[in-house]
Order: sequence, then C-alpha cells, then structure tokens
Amino acid sequence: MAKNKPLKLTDISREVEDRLADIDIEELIPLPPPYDKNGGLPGITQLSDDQKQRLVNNLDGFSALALPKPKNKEEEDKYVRQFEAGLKKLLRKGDNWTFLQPLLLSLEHCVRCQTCSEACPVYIASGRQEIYRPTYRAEIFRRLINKYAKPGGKWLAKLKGADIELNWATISRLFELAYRCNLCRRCSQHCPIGVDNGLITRELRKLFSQELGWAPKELHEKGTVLQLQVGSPTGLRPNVAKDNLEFLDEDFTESLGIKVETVWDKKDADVLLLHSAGDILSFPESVIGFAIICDAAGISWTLSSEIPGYEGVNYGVFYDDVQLARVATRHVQIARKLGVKKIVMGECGHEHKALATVADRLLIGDLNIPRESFMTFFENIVFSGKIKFDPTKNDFPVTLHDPCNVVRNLGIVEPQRRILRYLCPQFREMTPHGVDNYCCGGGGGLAVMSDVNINDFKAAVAGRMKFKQILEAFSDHPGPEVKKYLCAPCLNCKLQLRVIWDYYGVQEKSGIYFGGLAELIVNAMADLKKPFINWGEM
Amino acid sequence: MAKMELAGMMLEVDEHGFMQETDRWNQDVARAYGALEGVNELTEEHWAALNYLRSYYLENGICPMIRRLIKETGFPLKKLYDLFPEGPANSACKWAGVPKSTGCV
Amino acid sequence: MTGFFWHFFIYIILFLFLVIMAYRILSILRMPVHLRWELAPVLHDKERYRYGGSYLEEYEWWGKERHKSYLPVIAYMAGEILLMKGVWKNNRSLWPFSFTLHYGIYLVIISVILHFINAMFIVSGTPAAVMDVFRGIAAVIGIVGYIIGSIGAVGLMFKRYLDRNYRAYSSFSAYFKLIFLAAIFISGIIAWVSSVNYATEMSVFTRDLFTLDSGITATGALAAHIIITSVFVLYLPFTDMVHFITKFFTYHSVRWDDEPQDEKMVKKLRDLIAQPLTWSGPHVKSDRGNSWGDMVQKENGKE
Ligand code: SF4
Ligand code: SF4
Repeated sequence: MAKNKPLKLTDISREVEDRLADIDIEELIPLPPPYDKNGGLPGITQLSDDQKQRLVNNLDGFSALALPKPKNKEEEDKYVRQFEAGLKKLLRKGDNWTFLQPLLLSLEHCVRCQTCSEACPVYIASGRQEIYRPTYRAEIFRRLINKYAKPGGKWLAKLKGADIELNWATISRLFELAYRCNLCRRCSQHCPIGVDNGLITRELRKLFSQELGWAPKELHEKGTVLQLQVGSPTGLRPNVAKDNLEFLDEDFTESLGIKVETVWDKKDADVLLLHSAGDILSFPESVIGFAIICDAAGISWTLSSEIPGYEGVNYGVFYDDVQLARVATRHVQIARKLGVKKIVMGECGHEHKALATVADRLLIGDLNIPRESFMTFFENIVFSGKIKFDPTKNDFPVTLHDPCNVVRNLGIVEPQRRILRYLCPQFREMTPHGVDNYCCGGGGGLAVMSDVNINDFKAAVAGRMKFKQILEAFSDHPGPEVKKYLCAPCLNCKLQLRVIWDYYGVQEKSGIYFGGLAELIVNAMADLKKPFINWGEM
Repeated sequence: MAKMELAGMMLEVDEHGFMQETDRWNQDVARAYGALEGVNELTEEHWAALNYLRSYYLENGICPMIRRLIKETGFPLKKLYDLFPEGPANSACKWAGVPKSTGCV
Repeated sequence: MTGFFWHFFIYIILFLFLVIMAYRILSILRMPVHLRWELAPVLHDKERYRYGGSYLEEYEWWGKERHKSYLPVIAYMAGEILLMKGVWKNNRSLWPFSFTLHYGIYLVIISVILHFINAMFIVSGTPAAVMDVFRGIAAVIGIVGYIIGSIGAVGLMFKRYLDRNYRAYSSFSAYFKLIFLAAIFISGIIAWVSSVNYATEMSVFTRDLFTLDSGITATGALAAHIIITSVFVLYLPFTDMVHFITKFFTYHSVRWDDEPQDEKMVKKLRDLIAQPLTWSGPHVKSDRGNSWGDMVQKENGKE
C-alpha cells in the first residue's frame, strides 16, 4: 500500500478506503536483546474481516476508536458540517476562552522547521513514519482552520497552495490520528518558536468531543461520564470501594503483621488523599503503602467515599474542557465539604496536571483548596525523621520513570529523586530523564484505551522508546536472575507498562518489576519485619 | 456493535468478544468461550472461579480484585493462568459473561 | 525615481507595518486569560530552572514565597536570538542555513541603522573622517549581510525542496517567502556592486528621506532593492515571520505562565465563566444553561 510512497498532507482527504500507512515491525527502531529478534515476538494484530467490514480503517491499520462506518452519504456530510462548525467554535472566545490564546499562538507561528519531529518518541520509534510526525497532524489541522474558519480562507488556501479538502475521509482519519499522540509535549519543548503540537492535538480532540460528541468510549462514556455518575470509570461504587479497602486492610494487616487501617470521610482531617481507583483495584500495594506511611508519620488523613472523591483521575485533561471542569470541580467540592486543609494528589500524573495547573483557573473563590503532589508530601515525611529507614532493604537495581504530566508539565523533578537516592542504594537514572524523559507511550489517555488492536500500537510503537531506555538502564543485569524495580509513580504509566510487559513477557525474560514510589518507601521502613515488595508473587 | 455466534446464540459482543448483555449468559456460553481458547473441558476449578467472578460482578457491578479472586478461590495467580490461558481479566471475565473492565484497571 | 514618490512610498509602508504589527500584538494581548499550560523548564524559577524544576517542588508551596529571576530568561533569549541555540541543539542540519538567513537579516537591519546615523552626521555636519569610518562599516556590514542572507535563503529553498522532511510541508507560500528574502539580498548585492559608493548613496537617500527633501533620488539597481525591501516589510506582518516578536508570547504567556490565580485574575475569570457556550456535543448540554458556569457547576454531568 502506501508504505514507501512519500505521504502528502492532502493524502488525508483521499476519498478511498485505503490506509495511509502500514506499520511493519521490521521498520521500527531496534530494541536491545532479547527483544531484537522480531521473529520471536508478537506482531501486530490485524483487524478481522468482520471488523474491516464494520469499522473505519483508513489510517494505519490500528483502530483505537472502533468508529463505525457511516450508513450513507448524508450521515457523512452531517459530520463534515459539524466538524466545520467546530473549527469555528475553537476560535470563539465564549466557547474556547480556556485555550484560545495558546491555540492561536501555535497555529499562527509554526515555521515548518521540523525541529519538533526528532523529539517525538512515537515518530522516531515508528522508524519515522510520516503519519506520526508531530507536524503532520498539526499542519493539516492548521490548514483546515485557515481555510474553513477564517474569512477569505478558501480563497487564500488556493493562493498559498495550502488547500486541504474537508470531507469524510479527512475527519475520520483525523479522529484516529488525534489518538496516536501521547500529548507528552516533548515536541513542544523542542520547538524553537514555542509552538505546541501536543496542544493542537488536544484541541482537535476537543473539537470532536465537544461538537460531534465523538470520543473514545474509555475516556468519555465509560470515563468521565461514568465517573460523575457512579464514582469511577472502573465502575467502582462508593460502597464497593470501601468494601475493597476493608478487605485490603485485613489482608495486609495479616500478611505484614502491622495494623493497616484506612480512614474514611473523616471531617476536618488535614489531608484528603486522592488516589486513583485503579490503584485500589490493580495496584493495591500503592494505596496501602500510603496508609502505612501516613500513619507512621502521624498524619491526620482521610479518603472520601463520596462520588467521585475516591477516584482522582480526570480524563477531561485528554479530550474535553467541559468534562475536565466538571470532574475537577467535584473533587474540590468534596474536599471543601470535608473541611480538609489540603488535597494530596496520589500517584497519578494526569490527576496532577488537572488539579495542580490546568483546572487551577477554574477552581476560583472558595473552590481554591490547596493541592499538593504526593512527591513533595512524601519528601517532607521521609526527611522529617519521623520514620526510621533501612535503605539496605532496598538493595536492588532501581530506576525511575518520569511521568510526563508531573515532570515535564509541572516541573516536579527532584523530590522523588532525593527520596530514591536516599532509600535505594542501587538507584540509577535512565537516559534521557527528568524533564527530557520519554513518555511511557500511554500518555494522552492511551493507557486506558484498549479497543480493537490499539494495545499493539501502544506496546510496539508508542511505548518503544520508553521500553528501550528501561532495558538500557538495567543493561548491567539484563537477565531475570537479578530482580530489578522500575519505579513508575503514576497509575496511567503503570497500566501502559503492563501492556508492554504482557506483550513482550518482560517479567520472565528480564526480571523487571514495576510499581510506585510508596512501595519503595514502605519497603525501606526499618520497623517493618516483612518485605513489602513482593516481586509479583501472589 | 459486533456480533458473535456462541453456543447456538447470536450475542452482542465488544471488539474483544466480551458479552454486552450479561443476562443472556449460560454455562454453555462459558464452555464455548473456553473451547475458542483451546480449553475443551471446564473443570470444577474453572467453575469455582467463574461462579465467583460472575456472582461478584452481579452484586457489585465490577469484577473483583485479583487479590480477592485469589483469596476466595484459593488459586494462586499462576494457577489462574493455567486455568484461563489469557489470565483472569481477559479470559475468566469473558467466559463468565461480564463486560471487559476499563478505566484505569 | 525621484522626489516625493519615495517619501509617500516608504512612509506609508512603514506606517502600515507598524499599524498591522500593533494590531497583531494587541490582539494577542487582548485575548482572554487561558487555563494553565506551562511546560518545564520554566526559566524564571530561580535556581530550579537549571534542571527544569518549579515552585510546585516546594512542600506546601502556597505558603512559600516565590523566587523569580529574569537572568536565565534573558540569557536564554540571547542564546536564541544570537546563536539560535535551540536549532543548533535539536536540528543541526538546518542550522547553517537558518543561522545565515537570520544573520543576513540582522546585518541588513544594522546597516540600515548605520545609514540612519550617517544621515544624522551629514545633517549635523560631522567631520568627514568620522563619517568615512561609519560609512565604511555600513558598507561592509551591508554586503556581508546580503551575501550570507542569500546563502541562507537560497540554501533553505533547496533544503525545503530536496529534503523529504520538508518537501511535503512546503506550500507555495513557504517558497514565496524565501524567494522574496533572496530577492532582497541578491538585489542588495547587485546594488552594492553596481554603485560607485553604495554607503554614501544610501546615507544620502536616508537623509533625504527624513528631511523630506524633494531632491531624493534612487535609480536602477538601488531603486529596485529599496522597493523590494519595502514591499517585504509590508508583507512580513501577514506571515509566520512575525515570530520575531510573537515568540515572546508563546514563551511568556504560555510555556512560562505559571501564575497561580490572584484577585485580579479571578475577576477576569468570573467574566469568562459567565460566557455563553454553544458547543453541540450532547454531554455539554448547552441548551440547559447559558454559561460555562451553569454547564460546569450546576449541571455537573448529572442527569
Ligand atoms: S512546531 Fe515548532 S519545531 Fe515544529 S515545525 Fe513548527 S516551528 Fe518548527
Ligand atoms: S505530544 Fe508527544 S507524542 Fe504527541 S506529537 Fe508531541 S512528542 Fe509526539
């Protein structure tokens, strides 16, 4: 198909059903052994014939959205008209004051120097597939805005030779393409002009969601909507959350030999801990770890069982300003009702970005409850002397993954490192790290998206750079004999790592385990008789 | 919405073959799912896990935590993988006729 | 061409240039406050900027004083403007052309300033020896600027056309811009070479321009060069080349805008939250209320 033919921007509107690219494992950048021989590794799942019949499949052979093919031309035209209306709303103050200035600055000043491309882990890992280049998506979007949302645009587009046709093919491809980006903003960091292609991707997603009502099910219908209704995108209801923690409290009390007790809805506690419910369900050591640390340090803390006060995620960050605002507003309203002094954001990167910065200017007046990262919260505890540590308990190789939303976006870089340098004798950095890190490949909501075959994209393409640098950080002990710990203090990152781990069989082949920061702190507590980290044994 | 024929019924499923109308489930459906993944005979151990999963789901609207499943059935994780080739989330839940879990789990 | 044509032509263009630029800048300044979207490293964060840290690294940051320093910001801006460090670091193969093009422009601007100073000297009757030195410098800077500028502009044209990373992204207007720039530099070289004393001619022209002397004259290659350059000045504000000034905003108003809400901002935010919302996505429910605030706080996604 289109594989070796250079792709043009106008190809996006090619009105035939063919794909713009075919991803071939052999063309991706190579991984270190034992993952270098593609033969022994899983390939990319192709859509079944039935899926090809039903679903739009005109981009790259992946489907993140399972978009059904429209029934007829009228339906197609309706969506195209809606998209065009949405383009205009993005430029309107009332509808988009939230990001109008950043959007226009990014739309109007790109000089097409392509400096950003080399910074993008998806583009590079894919073997430089044109379709994943940060500017491919952004330039098409820019030209569409210029042509369809600005006065005289159609005429100017011809004159400037920047004419892209808006049709069903264009919007259906753009919808998928908007979800091939991790919103990690590494490209933005490298742009000499300050243009932000991550922001442009998010605006494109917003247009689809806010105007057409199109968004990945996992983010919207079973995401923010479910969260506001029942409490969590996982479907976890308040009573079930409490019941689960009761079970976990008992389970850990029994296995650790110390009393673990979760506090619920305590009025006027100092701290409201806002975890992600997924941690309760899939990585309970994290949630229990927090409880142990807080108790040992004598913190007055509580969880909330109000909808959605036990679920800190806010998928609105990924695709929709209205939903972002709704979820963030609920979170602080709950904290206000409890009368806590501050919210401590748990190990979830996008929760941080939502509550600490993006929603900051929405949470005004009495909604402005102080919000703090668990990183600084833990640093304060670890170095307060209130807990005795024995770092030799953590004497195994440890490396640190930097969640983009905490590190690149908020500039919280050192607190976690000061903790690790103190508590983990064999701590080593990845290259590059800190604010120059690579995204795990699950950023921008991809971590929770798993429809059709998108997990293969996440594991083989989007997460490739990360996987490569993790392996390289442990290159002194490549085999499974030495157990190694990858500290990934973010639920989304952990979920994405799990996809990579399952895809390649990393635990068996390389002996690398991943978990959060709380686990390492608890594991190093001198008074704890039994090890807290269980290396996946259950 | 995708459809799939299982145990003589036309079922609505998601793109990974998870049932969407959980009340249409019956034991034959579970057997048919198992057969698709190469498990031709469902043993008592299979049923213990499947029944627990299903009743927990019906009561709580969500699949149980792995830890709970392990504790309730007494099967360690490895055993669960032996019983269900794709593991508890991808095989056991599917065979038990409950929808795929999403949303940060 | 002689006489008032030049005055009209150049002053009108300068006037339009300033008006359009002012309009563009004002429209950026007048845009509403936006949600925070900062990106590390935020360079005004004293000390922590070195590794990209921010004040959010501080335990209970809201109770702490913030330390800002503009030195790193200035150093960064200087490195960008003078050395184009970002491109050097992240896009080396583009740097030689980009650097020479930019320096061509800088030098031409400097030579224009020097012509202006010379014009002042002529008016004020400064001794010839001083003027000769300045004219000499202006002449050298001018020709060096023209030459490296042409190398940059022509080089970029070839790069755009030949390199697969650029070709698909280069619309007609991208080439047009470069052709225009090349035309300025090359016409400058021709004017310089074909003139007996280029710097003197330019200085006299500049003097006549601002003393409104009706005897003002420029002909042939020089006239062509001046006309091309002036038209370019008028064209520039309509293109992405305004980044020479708007880059300030992409950095200060977005990447480095880490201001927590304050009273003044909250006042503006209240107005914005009262803005109407017309998105048609079903979940927005824009039919049920009339403002952002209604949509978000009252509706709150509940049925
Ligand atoms: S976004 Fe920035 S780096 Fe990328 S092409 Fe545009 S100006 Fe260059
Ligand atoms: S935000 Fe990240 S994933 Fe998206 S284009 Fe930029 S660098 Fe690539």
